[in-house]
Amino acid sequence: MEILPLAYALSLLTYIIGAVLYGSPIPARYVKKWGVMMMYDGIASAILVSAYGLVIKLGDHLLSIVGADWGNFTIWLTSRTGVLASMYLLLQSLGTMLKASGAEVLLEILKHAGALLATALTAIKTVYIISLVIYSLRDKILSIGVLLYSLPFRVGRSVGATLIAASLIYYIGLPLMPAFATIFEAPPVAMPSSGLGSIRGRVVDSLGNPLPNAVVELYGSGAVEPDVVVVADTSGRFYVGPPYDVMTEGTAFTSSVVFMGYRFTPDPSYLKVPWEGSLRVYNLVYAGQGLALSLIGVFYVGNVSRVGDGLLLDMEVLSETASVTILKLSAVNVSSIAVNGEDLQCSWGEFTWAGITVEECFVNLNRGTYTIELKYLGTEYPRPATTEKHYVGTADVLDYLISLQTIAISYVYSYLLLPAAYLTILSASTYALSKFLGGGMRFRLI
Amino acid sequence: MELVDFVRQMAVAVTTVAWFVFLVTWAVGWALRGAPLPFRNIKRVGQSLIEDSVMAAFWLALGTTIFALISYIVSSISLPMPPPPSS
Repeated sequence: MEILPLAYALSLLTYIIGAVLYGSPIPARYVKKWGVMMMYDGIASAILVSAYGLVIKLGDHLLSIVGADWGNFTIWLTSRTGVLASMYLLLQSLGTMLKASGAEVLLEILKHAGALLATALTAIKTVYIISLVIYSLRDKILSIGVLLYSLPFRVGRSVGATLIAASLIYYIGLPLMPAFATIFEAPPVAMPSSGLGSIRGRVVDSLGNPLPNAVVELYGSGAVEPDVVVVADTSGRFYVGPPYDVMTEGTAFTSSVVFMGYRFTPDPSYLKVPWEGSLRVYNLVYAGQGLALSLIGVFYVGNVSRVGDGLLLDMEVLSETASVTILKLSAVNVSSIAVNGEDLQCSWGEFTWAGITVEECFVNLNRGTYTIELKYLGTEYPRPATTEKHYVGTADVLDYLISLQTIAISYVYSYLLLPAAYLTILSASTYALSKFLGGGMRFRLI
Repeated sequence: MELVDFVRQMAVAVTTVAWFVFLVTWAVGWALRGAPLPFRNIKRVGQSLIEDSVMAAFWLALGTTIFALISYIVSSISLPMPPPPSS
């Protein structure tokens, strides 16, 4: 360390200048006073220079006495930063979600919470930078403090004393911040774990075959109009949830499936967010290639097999009377229908639904076992021109956002106000110690 | 290192100047004290100048010793610290 020999030489110089002033032939009292003072200053700074190693060791010793640890402090800071960063990311993803779902009104609350979090993050970062400077540059700060302290005529005495005091106080004090924060920290606000959820599943017929492009409608409690309308993909899969739908966990819906213009109640019909599974339509058999059989009554469907362009369906009617509705796209060409080997002449009725022309034929059956044989030339079932409807549970999301905002406010208290208060205490201690060392920064404007 | 040398040279120069200053003070002190002026104040000033010059010369002569002593004492204090209380 080259600063220390310089500081030592400067303290010697101060002492000699003091002696010169003391022994000068100027009979003014203040000159003599200054001389004596400078001699004292020279001795004091020489003691400080020699005690440099002692002060460093003293810091480590006091640190071990109070049980503080810089490693733990760094871990504490990093974990706090991690919590804030994850919360910030959560808010960002929520913001994206709200934008996508069209609920931009709620973005303002999110922005406010985001601003609070950013403030807390900045505060933690500031503490991190201060601690980094103190930890890595402590010896340099101390030696510069000693150098300034030893300058003649008390030029840098107050600054030097403050630097010496700061290097000691902050080095011991900063690792104690977690203990201080633990005492005064706000009780942890429970993060609303029941955040946002989704409903995802697959629409299948009574035999478990997927219903392509089926329309899934979800009704809120007591709702006449569906809250959610979503069209499944070609393998019957559908998804309702973020980012397009914002629904909190626990929200309940009644489900309904619309396929080829018919509305069915699937099993399960009651869905609670989050949900994942299959929506099975028990009274529908989808033969594929734009042809389906809707069953009204009590049935047992034994076997469905497709051979070439033919469909063979074995089933048993368990109720007194039952009805089978054969549904086909108008483009599907049915060449023959046979029930138990007897040809059936169907009178096809036509209707249009969601841009799809569907033809239907009703077959009434009594109790008994039936084999239905169909020969047809099919086509792919198209995607219905249904407008999808997305769900934004404003009240639930609002509650969720407000709870996030509360958490953000508690973070500002814990991560901004408490560290600031603690740093103020450390600064006051630094001032007191620097006064004791003979300096003491005076904060003057002019 | 140059700065340290400069400060040291300066200290040596100031020390040289200091001895001359003390001599001058001492001489001025005696001159005032022995002057044929019937003013007690002037004699007192002369006396204090003599005392100050002697004291300053004494402390200047002891200066190097004092600093060496400080270094010795403080370095002997800064031995390894005892371990902190474990209980």
